[in-house]
Amino acid sequence: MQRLFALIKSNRCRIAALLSTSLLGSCAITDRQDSIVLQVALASNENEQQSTSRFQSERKIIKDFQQQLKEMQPGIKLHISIYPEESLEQEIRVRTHSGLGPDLVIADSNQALSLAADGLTDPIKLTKERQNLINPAALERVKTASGSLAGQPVSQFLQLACFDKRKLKEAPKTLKELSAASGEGTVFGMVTNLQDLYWSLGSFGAGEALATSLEGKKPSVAAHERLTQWMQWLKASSYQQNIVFLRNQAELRKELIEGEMSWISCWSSQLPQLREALKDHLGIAPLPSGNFGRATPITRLQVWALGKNSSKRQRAESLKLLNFMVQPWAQKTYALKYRTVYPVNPAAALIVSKQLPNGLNAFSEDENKRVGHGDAIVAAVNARPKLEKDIQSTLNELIFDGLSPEQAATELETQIKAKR
Amino acid sequence: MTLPMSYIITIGPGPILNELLSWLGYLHRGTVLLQLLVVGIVMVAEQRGALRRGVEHRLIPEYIRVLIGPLLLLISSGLFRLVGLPWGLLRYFGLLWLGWVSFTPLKTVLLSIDNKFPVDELESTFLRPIYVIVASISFLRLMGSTQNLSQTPIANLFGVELTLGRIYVAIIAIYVIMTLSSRPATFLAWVSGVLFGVRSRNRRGLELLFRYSVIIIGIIGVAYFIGIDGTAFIAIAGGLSVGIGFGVKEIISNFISSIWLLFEGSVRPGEILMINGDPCTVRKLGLRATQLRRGRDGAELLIPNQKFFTQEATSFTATETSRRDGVIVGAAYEHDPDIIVELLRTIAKEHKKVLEYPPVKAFVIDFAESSINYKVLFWVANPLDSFEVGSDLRRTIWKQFEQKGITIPFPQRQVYPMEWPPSLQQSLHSAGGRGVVTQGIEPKATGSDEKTNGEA
Repeated sequence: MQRLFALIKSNRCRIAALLSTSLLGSCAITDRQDSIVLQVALASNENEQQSTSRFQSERKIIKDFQQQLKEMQPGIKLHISIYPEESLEQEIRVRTHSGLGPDLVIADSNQALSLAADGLTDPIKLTKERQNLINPAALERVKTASGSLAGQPVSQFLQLACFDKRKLKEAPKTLKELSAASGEGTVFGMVTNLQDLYWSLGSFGAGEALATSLEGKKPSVAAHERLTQWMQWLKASSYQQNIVFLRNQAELRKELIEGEMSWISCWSSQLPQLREALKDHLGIAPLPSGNFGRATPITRLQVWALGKNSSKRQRAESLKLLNFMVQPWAQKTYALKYRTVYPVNPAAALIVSKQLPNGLNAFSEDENKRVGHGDAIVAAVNARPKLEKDIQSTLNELIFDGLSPEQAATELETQIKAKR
Repeated sequence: MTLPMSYIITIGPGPILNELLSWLGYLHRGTVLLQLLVVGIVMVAEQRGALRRGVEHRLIPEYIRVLIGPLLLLISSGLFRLVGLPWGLLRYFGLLWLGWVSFTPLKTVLLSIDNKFPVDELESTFLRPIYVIVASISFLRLMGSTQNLSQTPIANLFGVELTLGRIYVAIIAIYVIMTLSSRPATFLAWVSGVLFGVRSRNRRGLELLFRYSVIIIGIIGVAYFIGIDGTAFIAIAGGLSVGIGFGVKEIISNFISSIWLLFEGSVRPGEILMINGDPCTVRKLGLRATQLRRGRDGAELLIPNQKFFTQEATSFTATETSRRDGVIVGAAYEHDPDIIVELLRTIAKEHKKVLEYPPVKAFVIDFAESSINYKVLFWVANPLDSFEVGSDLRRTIWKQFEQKGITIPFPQRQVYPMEWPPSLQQSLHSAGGRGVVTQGIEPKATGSDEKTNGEA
């Protein structure tokens, strides 16, 4: 080791000359091709624990996307860094303070708002024309307190039901059917966190109680009653042998792939992995509705935000790319190619909805308005780690321990109201 | 079984190159260039001594003055922050530089606490490597390349895809195992010593055996970590069998010899062996060669292990450590050999490093031309002491002989300057003792070319 240091020390001038020559040489190469490298930071919300395969499916899509983009936008080269959702903010902060921040940040709407509030991204100004290309409800979800836009919505990931066609001919359409099917020996899997369970709140109309609590008000008796009913359903499901609650989506997917489960709640972003493993046996359907109404799955709105450190040219190229991404052609092409996202461009959504897999095509524009409540609740919970932990603890006690649904409903309302 | 080369190893450095080239995009940013410029100016100023000249003062020691450059960068980063410019690069380089130059004051502090503290070893085996690891990881993090590079597959070894991250971790793990394996090995050897009564001189051999075991287990663990499983190991073994037959025969032979010698216990650290007539202490039994220290001149010898395995070696410590040595001395014919023998025995016995048992023995060994020669044989506990003891005995013998009037005869030479061809008269003069130039003691008698002082 010492020899190496001595060698470096004695040859530092040569090393510096070599580095600068190669640097200049490389500059010359890139300039000749007249292309620019845009640094992109992508948040991975795979909802997985640290594992070696965490970013595998995203990497494949990114590689393919980069290749595609090369043909359509030859002047732009994307250098994409993937970060786990939970560390994205910290990583961007370190890089931005050094002047090495990304030109573009791809995150979900809640995280984009948080980044903008922390001054780690620049607000985006969209022309009227460009705004017309995007669903107004989606734009509403990225509006900051000052009225500016934290980023540009590009697509959205949906929560769906994924099942193995060999074990289940048809996905249950209602929670009743789900209970009945589980009694016949079919294994159903869900995740025990509020974000992943939120879809079932709609089936009981229980979202209202949480939304009211979030506003700091006391929910009405009827709303409280509906929340208790949801809790009762959760408790009853946990008693059923064939309804299994697991910690995260990764474990659910693993069980479905290995044939241990027949039906799971899943995200459209995870479909490539499931398609690769289950091939034609993978079935996709909307999540089951309840007596009160339709399921209210939360969508993850994918937002592209502008970084702080870009040069003039990098900013111009970033805006050019953002414009390209919401054009009907790009929206349609990428939605159909990867079949994991729903377009934010209404015109493109209309074209592709019939060609998208079941579940994705069932998503309508109105859904954006309906998920508004859920999105706000989940965003408030995610922004407060303590609250998130408390809610998780309440749900765990309800599902795995002896907490009664009545107590759990009151506790949940109090926790959200307190916003600790 | 022949394996295609592509199965054994495939290397694709393309993704790394792409990643490195992507960093050039940062050079389009004025704020990055500005920070790099400040770093460059400060470094050049430091290099030319411009920064230190301003504070040259006897009261400020050199190890404080080297901190000026990095502190200047850190202050600049603070100023950049105040005016709302990106400042992290300045802070990064400032801290990096500060870390590098902090080794000197740190060493000074450690040495002032305990001057026997192995600071150089600590620096080269622990501090500098940690510094390099931290610096490289934090740099990649700044560049936004940690995940990309760590998950970039760059090589395929025996069908296993190796990512850069795994290779990096594997290198660090192997370095840590190699560097730190001696600690658990020493502990295990000590435990064995206590539990099974292993003698301390055997413990060092045992320690080495444990160390190799720790290293082998560690390397297998690292191999499993990077994904080389049982099948790959079989493939590696297959490859090695061919390799052993050709290129690495000598290496394997030396390695096997080292293991064998350790088990046999014939070449252990601390052992004293005669190499080309010189006593040498075994310092280290390595995987390839044994390191010895020659007692005569302190030279370090590196001898391949298989030499000990295939050739004879003289050991003074194989079963017992004592060594027998002797001193030869001549005394004039006029002295009684019994007295001389007794005197020599007494002199040797009285030396504190000469063992009582086996007893000292003295012999008359020769009626030589000008003296009776004697030999005194003695034993010492430490073979390396024999040379010193021999010297001591010779000095004592000389002093004792001087006191007791015993002479040690030695040849003398007389030189006669002569003409050539010699005239008869000159020859006669010479014979009469005139014009003689002597070396040593001037002779009293003439007519002989060589005389001993015993005869004189």
